[in-house]
Amino acid sequence: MRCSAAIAAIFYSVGLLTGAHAAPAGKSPSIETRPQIGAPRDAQFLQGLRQRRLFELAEKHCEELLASSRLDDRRRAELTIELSRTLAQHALESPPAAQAALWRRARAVVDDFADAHVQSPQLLVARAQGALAALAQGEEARETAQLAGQGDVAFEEARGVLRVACERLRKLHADVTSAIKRQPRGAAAPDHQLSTAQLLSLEMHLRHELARALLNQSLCYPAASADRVNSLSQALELLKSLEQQELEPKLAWSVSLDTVAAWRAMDDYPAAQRKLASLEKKEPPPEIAPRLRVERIRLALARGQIDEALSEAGRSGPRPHADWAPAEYAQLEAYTTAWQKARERKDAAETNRWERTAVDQVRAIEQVHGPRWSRKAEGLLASSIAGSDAAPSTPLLMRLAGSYYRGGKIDEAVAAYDRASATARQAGDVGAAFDAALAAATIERERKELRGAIDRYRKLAIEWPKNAKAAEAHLLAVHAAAQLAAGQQPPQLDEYKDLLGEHVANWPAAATASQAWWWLGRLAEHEHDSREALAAFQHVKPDHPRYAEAVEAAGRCYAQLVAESRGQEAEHERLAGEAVSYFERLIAAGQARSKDDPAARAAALAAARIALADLPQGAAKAEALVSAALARATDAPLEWKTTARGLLVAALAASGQVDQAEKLLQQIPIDATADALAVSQLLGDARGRASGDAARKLARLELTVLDDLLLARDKIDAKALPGIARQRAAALAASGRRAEALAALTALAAENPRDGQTQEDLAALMAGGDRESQKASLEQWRLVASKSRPGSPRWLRAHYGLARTQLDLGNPQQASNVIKLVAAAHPDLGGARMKASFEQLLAACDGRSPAAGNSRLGAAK
Amino acid sequence: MRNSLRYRVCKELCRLSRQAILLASLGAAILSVSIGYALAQDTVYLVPEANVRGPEALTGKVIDFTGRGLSLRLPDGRTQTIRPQRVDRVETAHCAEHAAGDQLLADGDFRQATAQYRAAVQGDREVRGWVRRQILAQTVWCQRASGLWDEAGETFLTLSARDPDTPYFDCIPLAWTAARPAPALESNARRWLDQSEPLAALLGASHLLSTGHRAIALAKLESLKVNPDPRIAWLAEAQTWRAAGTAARNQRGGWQKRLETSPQALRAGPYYVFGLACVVDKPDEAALALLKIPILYPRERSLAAASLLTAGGCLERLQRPAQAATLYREVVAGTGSLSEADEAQRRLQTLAGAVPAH
Repeated sequence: MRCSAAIAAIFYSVGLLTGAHAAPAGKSPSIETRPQIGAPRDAQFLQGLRQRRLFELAEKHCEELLASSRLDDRRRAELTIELSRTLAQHALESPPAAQAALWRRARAVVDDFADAHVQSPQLLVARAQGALAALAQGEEARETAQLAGQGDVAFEEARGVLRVACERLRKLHADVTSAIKRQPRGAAAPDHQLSTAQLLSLEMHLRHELARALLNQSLCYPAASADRVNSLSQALELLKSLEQQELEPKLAWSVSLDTVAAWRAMDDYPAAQRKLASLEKKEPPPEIAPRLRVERIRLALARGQIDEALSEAGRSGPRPHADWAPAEYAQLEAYTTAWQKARERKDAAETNRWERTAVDQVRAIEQVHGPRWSRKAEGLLASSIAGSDAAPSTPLLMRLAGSYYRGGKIDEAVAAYDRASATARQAGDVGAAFDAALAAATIERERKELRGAIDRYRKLAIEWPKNAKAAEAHLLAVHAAAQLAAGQQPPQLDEYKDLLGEHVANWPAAATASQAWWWLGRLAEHEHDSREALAAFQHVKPDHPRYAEAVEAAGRCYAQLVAESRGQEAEHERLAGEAVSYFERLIAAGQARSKDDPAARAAALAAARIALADLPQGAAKAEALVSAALARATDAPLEWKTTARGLLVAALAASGQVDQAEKLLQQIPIDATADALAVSQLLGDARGRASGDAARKLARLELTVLDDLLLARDKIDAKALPGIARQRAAALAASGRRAEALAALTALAAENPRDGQTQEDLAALMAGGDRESQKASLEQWRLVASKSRPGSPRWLRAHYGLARTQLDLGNPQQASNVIKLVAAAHPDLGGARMKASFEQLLAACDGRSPAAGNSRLGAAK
Repeated sequence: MRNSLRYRVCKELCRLSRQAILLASLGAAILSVSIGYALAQDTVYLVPEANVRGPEALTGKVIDFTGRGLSLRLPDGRTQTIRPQRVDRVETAHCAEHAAGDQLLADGDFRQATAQYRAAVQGDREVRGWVRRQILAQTVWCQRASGLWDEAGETFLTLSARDPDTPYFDCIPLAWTAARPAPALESNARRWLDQSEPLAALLGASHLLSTGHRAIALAKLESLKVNPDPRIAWLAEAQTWRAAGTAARNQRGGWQKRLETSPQALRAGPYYVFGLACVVDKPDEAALALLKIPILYPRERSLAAASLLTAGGCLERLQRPAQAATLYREVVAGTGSLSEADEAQRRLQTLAGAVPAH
């Protein structure tokens, strides 16, 4: 970057910056035999960041340092200039759409400094940075306009920016000249002020930069126009004035090379050639070599000496140093000119040769010199083919498409990729055809044309299913379909689901299949299809990053399926056994992978939950599973450990070790409400299966958890609170505190008159009490029945409760009548299980009734 | 006839002649080296000082260069002492082995470089004490880069014994990452820890911090935090940061302030620890701290590679995969060990084939 180099040269000349040599990116840094005593500086660090194109980080670093009020004036100036340099370089390396804002900021930061520090000794240098940023922007705009052939508008824009740069440089130059005149002769400059020598150096640099600005400005006018000649004459005059002075060597070389460029732009090739020849004789230092090469190639091209230009350009290939980027770009200019000439001659062999060489050179520039030079090189390629009727090759079309894309011409980019794909397909280059189509689809996705992206990704994946990237392309279609669905109200998930199915069917062994299965599982879970979700989660492979989550999800699915099967005893037992065995296999496999495997941990909890809730005598198994998992869980997150310990509390309690469970509960206060809820639920289930003293002990433990839980009621979902209160009432009753339970449920029922479950629980509790309570429960059962849909499970349970209570009160006939009425209206009685209960109750009624009736419910009908 | 007198005389003459030639060439070599050293002018480049105008470099003969200063005999016979902080670098004639070692080191051939440096300090190839110490420092860097941390520790202790204030203190081979040391290094580290010499104890404790001897190492570091040598005290303090664990987040503010006032040459490892502490919740700050190592301290090769990898991860978290890839490519290009390069390559492949997450 000329601007950066120029400002660095100015700062060194005025002593603002001292040696800053960051370790180069991508190169083994040389080890110097120097002690590391000297202070590394911000400039060195920022240079390193810029070399790695980490502009955002460099900007953040500068801004944070500048935010400190303790900075002295010199350091503030230095950092402001560094920030402006970073922003300017960031602009140059950014796509066109992002440049304007960065250029504005690059100028604004130094302008703000200049406004706020009018007395600063560094003011002139800071202003120089602002002027150079404007020049760099103008130079970039001029080059872009030349490349893209965008016509007068683009050139006028470039001229505008360059005009501003010239004005800034002229004004600054005048101020520096005045400052030199004001400087007392022979006296040393006061502290921190620029010395006369430094001011003189700054003046010369500014004159040189003004010449460069004028040279750039001239190139924005048509060749041989009066405006061009005028700007060039001014530039040459300034350069000539500089050449007559004694300059620092680096500045002297720059001035001479810019003189060659100015003569060339003036179409005075002999003068340019003479100057160049004289420079060659001066033994130029190595750092000048790249610029010399640029001038040699461009002069030869301007004179129409293609062979000489090509000879100077030599073979294509990158030089890793950033200074060589312009020379490599000039090489490309030589190759594209040769290519153009071969096309004009209709020399097919030479056309192919130079096209290949040019494309290779663009690739080399891209690899070594980053996005800015890559963009320029592609732009040159695109401009050299514009208007040509020759059929471009696939690599060239790919390059063109890339150039359009980086230049913000998205429609043209997609069209070029499509054309490249078609050309490659015709040439039998399937890989290139796929790559081009993939790039086009990706552009569609990036610009949110999701419909187009889905179709393109899917089409290419299905057309070339064996391509190494086919599965990935198809998965991108899936992802785009998900994005499309997410934008719909309500989301239409059919296509997403179909694509996922298509993916696992076509690429079952691909690395992407696990991802598709994971998404399928999530979708099925969302649709409450536990069976399908389980099958999907079971297909996720252990190498997938979300494997542990998939195991956990499979646990949720199994738990749901097992819970749903509770009415069917044999199926329930089979399914619970299957689930526990499945997770035990996963635990063993996980342990083979590592001692503390996250998936094995998830499997242990899933197996323990099902064993505890659904396996006969499963509490001991659950305890063993969780204890073993906890013993292995050295790296487990705290949340997992809390959940596991909660589960262990429930397992210990359910297996009769209530005292140990209580002790463990005291050691691990469960403050996570989700875990406390789960533990209380498991304890409630265990209490439901227990009886006598065991049930009472479990209930007491359950109450401990529930009371703790209710202390944090503000963290609990309001919808869950009635359920917790109901469970607490049941636990109170089971622990022998029946009166409290009744009071709690009565209050809850009054607060929630439409909550059927609370009303039913109240009826059941009352029915379990003394005779008076039983009598009162009859009314409550009738209330529940009247508020329930006839034939619904609750309606049936209410009638069963009514009949049961009548029988308990010694009214078998009334009980029998209730049952027969229900059977008459709903002969299936809510299914086999409920029907059996009714039949048993009716038999009991018949056994106690003086007029024994027909106990068969079918006969009652 | 092999036993004839003539044959024996000839043989003896040949032997003497060879010896004479050998002696002559050795003498010439020694003479040339001595004359070379005697006649050669050393150039001491100075660090410019703000608002001080003076020469950028001084020529003469360096008599000694320690952490206390550089003694330069000027051409007029006077001796000038220069503060070490003002010495940017010294240009002097090097023996062939020393020069070869420097070249091999720059080329990344650390084992061969070490061999050349050893040859340079054996015998009389290099007799100047201050250059021999410089060679020792270079050897430490080579041993570190070769992964020979136990040897590097021993060499460093030799260097510091010869000049306790060595200006090459920054080559001290401390551990900063969580990698567990190899058995040989762990064994050496235990021995160093038991030594009364504070530098040895610092070395030992740093390498034992990621082992089962963590508690004793930490206790030693705590005691070294008040060592009168500010370099030892600073590095011991920064080493204890490694043990901060989850508390690191709360202590970062204090660490940052401490970093700003610490010796600049000894900040590489502490920047690494500070960067790690920021990775989770402040990835941009983490990246800035970590990137200081490859940019400002490129000689810290393995730490630089580890830093680049972690900084790359931070950039990925910041949704800047192209920038992360730049850093991974830098690791692959060669500053780190094979394992770091492999990891960087793996991450590059992952980035290239990244599938967006829902």
